[in-house]
Amino acid sequence: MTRLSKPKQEKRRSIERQLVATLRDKLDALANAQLKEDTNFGKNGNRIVNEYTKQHKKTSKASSVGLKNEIHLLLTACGLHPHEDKEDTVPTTREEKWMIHLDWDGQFRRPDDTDFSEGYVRSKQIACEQQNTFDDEPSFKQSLKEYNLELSPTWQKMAKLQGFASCKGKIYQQLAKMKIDPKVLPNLNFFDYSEMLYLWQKEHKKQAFECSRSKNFKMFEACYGNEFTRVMTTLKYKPDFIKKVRENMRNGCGDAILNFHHYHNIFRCQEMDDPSKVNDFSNTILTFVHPHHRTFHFGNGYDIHDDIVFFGGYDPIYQIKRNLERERQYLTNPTLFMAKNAKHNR
Amino acid sequence: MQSITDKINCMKSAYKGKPLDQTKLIMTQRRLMLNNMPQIPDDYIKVLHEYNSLACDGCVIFGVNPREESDLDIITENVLISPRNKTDNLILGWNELEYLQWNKISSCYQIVDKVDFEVLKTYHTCKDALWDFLKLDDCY
Repeated sequence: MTRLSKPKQEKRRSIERQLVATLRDKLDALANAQLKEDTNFGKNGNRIVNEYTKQHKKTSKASSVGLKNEIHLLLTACGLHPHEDKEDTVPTTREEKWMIHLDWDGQFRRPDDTDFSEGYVRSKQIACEQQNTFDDEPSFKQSLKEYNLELSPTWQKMAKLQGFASCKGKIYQQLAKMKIDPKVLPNLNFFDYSEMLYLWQKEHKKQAFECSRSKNFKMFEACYGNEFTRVMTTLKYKPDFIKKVRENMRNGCGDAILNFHHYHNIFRCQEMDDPSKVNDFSNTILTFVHPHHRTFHFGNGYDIHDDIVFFGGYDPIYQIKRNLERERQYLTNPTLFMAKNAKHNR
Repeated sequence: MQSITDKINCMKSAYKGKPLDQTKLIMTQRRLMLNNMPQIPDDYIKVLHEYNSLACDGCVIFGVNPREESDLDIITENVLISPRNKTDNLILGWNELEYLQWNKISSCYQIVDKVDFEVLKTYHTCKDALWDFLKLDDCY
């Protein structure tokens, strides 16, 4: 970040605040321009003027189209580019979308019963019958060696996502425990594997995997913690608050005012060279929730340059650029990286 | 509802709006009705009476004009998110990938995908919906 004198910093900060306030006002006005006015009359017949009515009067002359155009002009002036969809992009399937969701936040959602594969449902049913019925034949024990996840196209896809890569052993355990027929492996789908991971998590009472969101926060703090502190200090955030936010990031959590934006979102991840990297740190940018993140999704969306890792403001002095070498070192060995930088990174 | 508010009280890094002003609630319900949008459900209003909007760890729960700027305001957010033809759903919050919405027809809360609004999970109580959406089990 460019070192500026204090008066210049103050001036830039003042301009940034005005810009942020203007964008918020424009978005607010855009919402109100699309609403019917509430003509509210009190008991005495006097018109009750509330903040909505006042606001609507001010903005009633500005049309929605005009306001959208104003917001567009402001965003493009700040260096954001309207997103253009690539032609012939293969849409993300429903299964892929659920896969990416789970990998991102680690939240299991139960699918419909019809989502599981036939082979998986049948295997579970047979295993249940064998367990709960008297049978002359001894119940068979499934050996781990009988399973080979290389034969499962769905698992091969899942394993490319950073969250699931470490789950192979757990899946083998569940396959054997649930006595899933090895022959159905090639036909298992994401919902089957998702349930297996959920059951593993429930039995062991701990997370089946660390979600990408958590990993990304930790990586951001380790690689860019000091620059983050400098930017936030320039934006006049209190030192205690900044320290608390960084501590949360070290624990894999965010804050009330910050979240991640995906450069290529789930819907458009097929535009990427490697769609399995959709939740990777390289495809995410940390930013403020409002109005920054909101403006990235305005209209058909706006693109930011992918060499920015933290978007703290529309002025470039509040943005942190990527350091690819630093990120590479962290990914190679996070523990060693953090030990090396421990002295400088607090 | 007490367990949710107790849990939220423990959240150190959350923005918690002040309790809802009844006049603002009435005005908002009128405005929702005027604009053919669903009313705010009763059990959600109970939460608003404790915290008029919440923001924590990338999740945002809307309130009734909680701050002077209209971010986190239920009406503003719904107009900016939803298409012009109003639906039977009222969006109550969002995170990076999902919306939390109230489905008027089914009288249930739903977590839906942000892009195509596919329903990912359904809840019959506000407490269960918020517990999951705010990830209160992982609360720090």
